[in-house]
Amino acid sequence: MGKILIIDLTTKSYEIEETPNELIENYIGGKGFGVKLYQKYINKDTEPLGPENTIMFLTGPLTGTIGPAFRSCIVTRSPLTGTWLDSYFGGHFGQEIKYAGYDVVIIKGKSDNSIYITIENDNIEFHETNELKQKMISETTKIIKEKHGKDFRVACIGPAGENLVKYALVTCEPMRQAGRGGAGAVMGSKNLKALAIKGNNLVNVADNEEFLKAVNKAYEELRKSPSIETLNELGTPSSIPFAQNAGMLPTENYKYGQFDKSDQLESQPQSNAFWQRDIACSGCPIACGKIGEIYKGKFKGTISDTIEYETLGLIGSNLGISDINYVTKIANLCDELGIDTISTGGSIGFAIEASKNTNLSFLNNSDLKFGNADTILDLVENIAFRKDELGNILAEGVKRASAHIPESKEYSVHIKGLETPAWPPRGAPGMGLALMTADRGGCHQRAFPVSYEAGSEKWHGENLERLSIDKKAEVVVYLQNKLAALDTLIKCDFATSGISEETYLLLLNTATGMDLPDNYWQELGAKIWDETRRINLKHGFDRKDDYLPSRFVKEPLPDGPAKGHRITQSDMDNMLDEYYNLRDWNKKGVPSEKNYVKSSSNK
Amino acid sequence: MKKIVVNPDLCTGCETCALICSYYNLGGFNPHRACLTIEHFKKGVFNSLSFCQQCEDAVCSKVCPTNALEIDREKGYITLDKDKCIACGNCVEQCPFDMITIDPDTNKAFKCQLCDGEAYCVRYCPHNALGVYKK
Repeated sequence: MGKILIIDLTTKSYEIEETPNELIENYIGGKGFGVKLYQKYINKDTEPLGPENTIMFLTGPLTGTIGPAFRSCIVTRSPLTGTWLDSYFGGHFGQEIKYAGYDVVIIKGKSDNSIYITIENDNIEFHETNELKQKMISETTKIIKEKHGKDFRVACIGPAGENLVKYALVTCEPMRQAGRGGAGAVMGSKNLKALAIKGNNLVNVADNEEFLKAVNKAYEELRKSPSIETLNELGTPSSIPFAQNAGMLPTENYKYGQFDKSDQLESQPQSNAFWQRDIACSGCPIACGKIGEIYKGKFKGTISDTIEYETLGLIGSNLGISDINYVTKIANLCDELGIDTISTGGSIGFAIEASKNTNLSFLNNSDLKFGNADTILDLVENIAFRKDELGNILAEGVKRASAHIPESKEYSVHIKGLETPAWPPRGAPGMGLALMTADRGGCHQRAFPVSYEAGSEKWHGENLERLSIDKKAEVVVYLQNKLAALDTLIKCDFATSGISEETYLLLLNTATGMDLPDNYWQELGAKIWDETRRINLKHGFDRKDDYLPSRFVKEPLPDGPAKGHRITQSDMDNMLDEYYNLRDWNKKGVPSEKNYVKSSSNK
Repeated sequence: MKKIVVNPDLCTGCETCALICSYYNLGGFNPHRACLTIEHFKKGVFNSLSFCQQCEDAVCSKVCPTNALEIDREKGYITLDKDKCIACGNCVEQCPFDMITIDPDTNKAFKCQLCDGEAYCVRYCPHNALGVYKK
């Protein structure tokens, strides 16, 4: 395999190490490498925005190959939550890390002036950023490519990252974001505006012929999957009618689970407004993305890729906005400024509800209300530039903003400080448990039991009772282990609905020459979950932090098929007890010491 | 002669064509090392792909001092005999479409020979954006 590039911004120097065999054999790549390297470079007291925090760009063993839909990730300590953070991105940037000859790029220290770095194979250079300061994402990318060549792939932050907005993101070219948890603020705190990378190394696999067979098998599975077909045709907005019907569409700061104008957020209105063609990440046959230019109206000419389900939920229904042109414009502005649309929608939704309940001067704005898209558009900019008192407070995220507003805890919606995604769990307690236990805070991507609870997936051949907590911990543990294990390869979430666990194993074995057993994923996943848990325990997170926000616990859902449902304190305690037990963690959520089977060996 | 053609409306920019190209020809993956080029978003939201035109009266074959490049009308493309190539760079300089390079590893000219007629880029394109045009 490859090498690890370690860049020290304080001294503007770098080292290149061989990737240790032991790391590969036990942790494969991606998230697996992340948990080990995190413990090497980040300690329990590391300040997320201090020079001692470290930000890593990690690839997997299949990233950069033709294997379908493999991505890359950033690992760092989150300034938003204080937890471990792993944030994933597609596109082309991660592949280029591999072509430059690296498995991982680690960045530590802090530059005393604002800079960007170019990496061309083993040639690493540090550049002044005078002309890039406070520049938008697309402009930053364009200037760097014009200067250094179009073959460079750029990862950069926008003004929000420079201004240390706690949920600033890193955009990885083109338009793919490591969106959640504030990795962009970590880059900003290091005075690092961008990384540009290119390489001419070939990424080789162990067994050429067998690898191609495995790739063809994966293609076949993707072709046969109806959900993949839907993603290609309609993209993620196809989840809008599902969530609406299930009563799980966040509406007006998660107060409701249905939005009366949800049909305007579906795929068709978006397609009518701007979709021109399909786009895919490198090596991906799915092409869930759509891109185009808004054809008419106030925002004519705005180029955008798909407004994804999460953004439609958080910027659309959660803020009461149904005009797809406005949702697109607001999302586009978030992308350009470099802030996470989920946390932005969560923070603004919280502020709007707060403005109804308090007389605080910074919330005294009669235009600040659900559905008022122009005011919301201005507020997004005020957050990214920390322009006024409200923008400055909301730039800190819901948890910290709530501390400024008396009695706001009952409607401040976050878990461990991470604003929750567009899958509010009233009506799906398994999803509640998934959000409660996700290692980076309120996240839907560590397990998605909704498909079993409100969708058509069966658990060991049986339909699960939607509103019951029965068997939900089992499902969550299984899914979390599976997805964490596949994140050592850095799979695409969507591809997992087509590609089988068996085929993922075949891809890995043929690419690396490893000979991993059939039951490998669950074991590897459980090991990773123990590790991220230990990391979070060191940072002071434990059982007390594994609970849902008050809104989902105390307020029965007012609408939809699960009307009247809430997830009670005893539901949460019972699910947590069962979940910890299945993981062999004690009642406080501390993992027992285990002898992990050395899970891999080279042929 | 035959050549690869593209329908840009169907191209998703996934680079599968370039990945399979470098894999077939060089044994590993890297789209920069393919004998086709992709410029993402060159035309607004559309991509621009370039392929060897397998010219009827190919200038590369004319400027090659060792006859490493030859027009093979039966096969339908310009063949490259790597053993004869001395990496002089004349073909690279003269190709009007910039579709020949000197490969950094082999130090030999590198151009599209339709994968000996298999045209893997066409076969692997997941959205059927590519085809082989025969005149």
